[in-house]
Amino acid sequence: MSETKDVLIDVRDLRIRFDVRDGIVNAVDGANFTIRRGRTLGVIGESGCGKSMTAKAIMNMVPRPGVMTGEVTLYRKVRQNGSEITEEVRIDQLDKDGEKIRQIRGGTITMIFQEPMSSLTPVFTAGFHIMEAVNLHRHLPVETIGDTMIRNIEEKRGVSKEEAREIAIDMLRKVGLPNAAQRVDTYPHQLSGGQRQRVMIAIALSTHPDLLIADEPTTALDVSIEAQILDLMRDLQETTDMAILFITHNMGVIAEMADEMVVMYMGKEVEEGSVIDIFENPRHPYTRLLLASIPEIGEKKSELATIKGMVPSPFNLPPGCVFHPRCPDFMPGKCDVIPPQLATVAENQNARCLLYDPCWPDTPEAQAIKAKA
Amino acid sequence: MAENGKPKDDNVILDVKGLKKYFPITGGMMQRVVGYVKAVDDVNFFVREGETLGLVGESGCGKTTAGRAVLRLYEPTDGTIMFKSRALSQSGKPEWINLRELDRAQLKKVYQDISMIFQDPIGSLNPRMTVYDIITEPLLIHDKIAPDTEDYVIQLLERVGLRAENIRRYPHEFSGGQRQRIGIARSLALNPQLIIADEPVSALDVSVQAQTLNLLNDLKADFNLAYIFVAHDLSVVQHISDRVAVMYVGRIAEMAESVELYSRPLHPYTEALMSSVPRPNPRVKKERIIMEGDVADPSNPPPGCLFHPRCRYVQDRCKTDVPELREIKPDHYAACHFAGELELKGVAEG
Repeated sequence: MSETKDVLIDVRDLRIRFDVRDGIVNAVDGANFTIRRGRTLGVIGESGCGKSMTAKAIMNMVPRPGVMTGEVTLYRKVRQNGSEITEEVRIDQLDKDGEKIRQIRGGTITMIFQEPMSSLTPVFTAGFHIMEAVNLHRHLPVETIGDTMIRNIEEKRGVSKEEAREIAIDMLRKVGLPNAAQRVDTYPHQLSGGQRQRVMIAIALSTHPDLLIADEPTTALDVSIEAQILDLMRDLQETTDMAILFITHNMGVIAEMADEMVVMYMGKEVEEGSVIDIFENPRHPYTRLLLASIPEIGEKKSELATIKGMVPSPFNLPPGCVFHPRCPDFMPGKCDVIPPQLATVAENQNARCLLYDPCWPDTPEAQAIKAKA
Repeated sequence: MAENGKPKDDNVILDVKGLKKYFPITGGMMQRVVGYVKAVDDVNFFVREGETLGLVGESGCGKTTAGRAVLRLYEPTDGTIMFKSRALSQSGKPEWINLRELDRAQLKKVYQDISMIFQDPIGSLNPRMTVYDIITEPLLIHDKIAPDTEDYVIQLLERVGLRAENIRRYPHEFSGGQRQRIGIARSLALNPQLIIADEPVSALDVSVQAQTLNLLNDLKADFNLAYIFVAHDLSVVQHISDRVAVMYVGRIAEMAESVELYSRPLHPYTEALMSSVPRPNPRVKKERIIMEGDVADPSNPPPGCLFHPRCRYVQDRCKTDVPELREIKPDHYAACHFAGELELKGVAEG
């Protein structure tokens, strides 16, 4: 079903590695996925799983000292000699600060960052977070909201300055910002956190991007505003065939917005597939526990499922399957020795778990264990 | 004991009436008071022994202010806060006192009965104090340090799921979820009757949130605790609360038992709010009720019913008359002129 839609972004073997004083962190450890036009891919996981870093990689914005390897390919539609052709752009090979990537960012691909103060990951120092906030503000302009929006809209959508201004005001109104016609001429620092978040969303949507990367876009917002914004994103998706990469820890939002989803844990995809399949029949123990641990409005569970233990330190990862110390289905002698590969568990579903791995990886350790069993 | 949000049984331990907290807005050259932000404006609610009252609403609704005003961490502008205190009782049995009439020394004693858990697991613990110091600080303040205090602290720590050896560690050595447990242990130190929990799980990861909620429920059963659980996440509040009060711009819109509220809401705001919550069920394509416009400004509230500019059921009366919080069905209160006449949709079966 999803094969019929055009591929917009293809990610192959994405790895992002940080060599820091305390050791090596594999923030993303071999991610593979596809984002299609008009579809929403949800990425879910808790702090430190690598989901935000994955998003940054797509825009070639991995912060120093992170090193990115792998392929990130954008299939961009361009007009050549009067007809429309698809151009393959290897984003990972573009110069990080070059003209081409800067053209893509803010136009073809736009991003809504997480409000940096609303969650801090344990992997990075306070200084890193402050640096992130500064970077954030470089994307939140030191010019008026209107100036940024108008410039981006003019360029991407090929309209006049006056039309761009109207579009900008309309979008500010659509994200629920009161007095949009006045707000357009104010500066971001004059707004509250929630309002700034909404402006960010307006900026990101106003250029009608081919891909919207939304990293926890609504966590800082009230649920009534969140509802409006999710509706707005979906409307835009329908009218412009926009693809969305939606990163969140909120299962309810994923269920509403995403068609396909990826569950991440410590830099690896542990389960992926259609949202309906995964919600109804989660295969990976982590996914199952996550789903059982959330209170769902309208359903009163007597006790919420919990995941024993804690997320491991990235400098001290457990051997074999990284999740095994916390896994209710842990198989001693197997899970603590063999790192599982992604295996197909259903037509539209893959899980990284030895429970489903029909033939273990062909490593000497695996063969040794198999021989013993 | 009169009408209007009135408890009719002996199990009530906290009874708040007409609570107000106005913050003055100053302006002009002389810094005169030019207006007020009515953060909490005539709020009534009650809590029974051993039950959890959820206080829920969106940003600026006054729920945090209301929680803190009960403890007089913010001095209320008006209202009575009746509490059945053990610490201040002469007879040994809990006695009714009005918290607003107490002097500082008496109020300090009541802080043995009512304690607080805060939202921010980083900011609410002094980074220069060990876990032992943090948990014994309330004991120190109330002169309750005894020879067996260290054993007591270890007991508390283990009860919240932390090991004894953590007693000499500092907050930065723990994760967010563990810090929150330390905060919970601290709030239990003086054996309170009531704990005000202000967004205790909002800053935590999903799986850690679940652990913390389960812990709070277990402790409630073990220690016969009552909670006022202040939060903005409706799913969390429904899960943990026995009764829920929904606040909007400083007032209570609706208050009822949890399952009752979520299945048969009586106030249009409650209905719209619940319908906005994204549900973790991809097959449910529901009709969402969109509330037009922004939340009312507490320094310049609309006349009549505060919600009327955004209400899809609005009538003329709503624009002029302020609705009172009335008991529409047994133990189900709503502040709407047409409560009970409208056919509103809930999100639960129950």
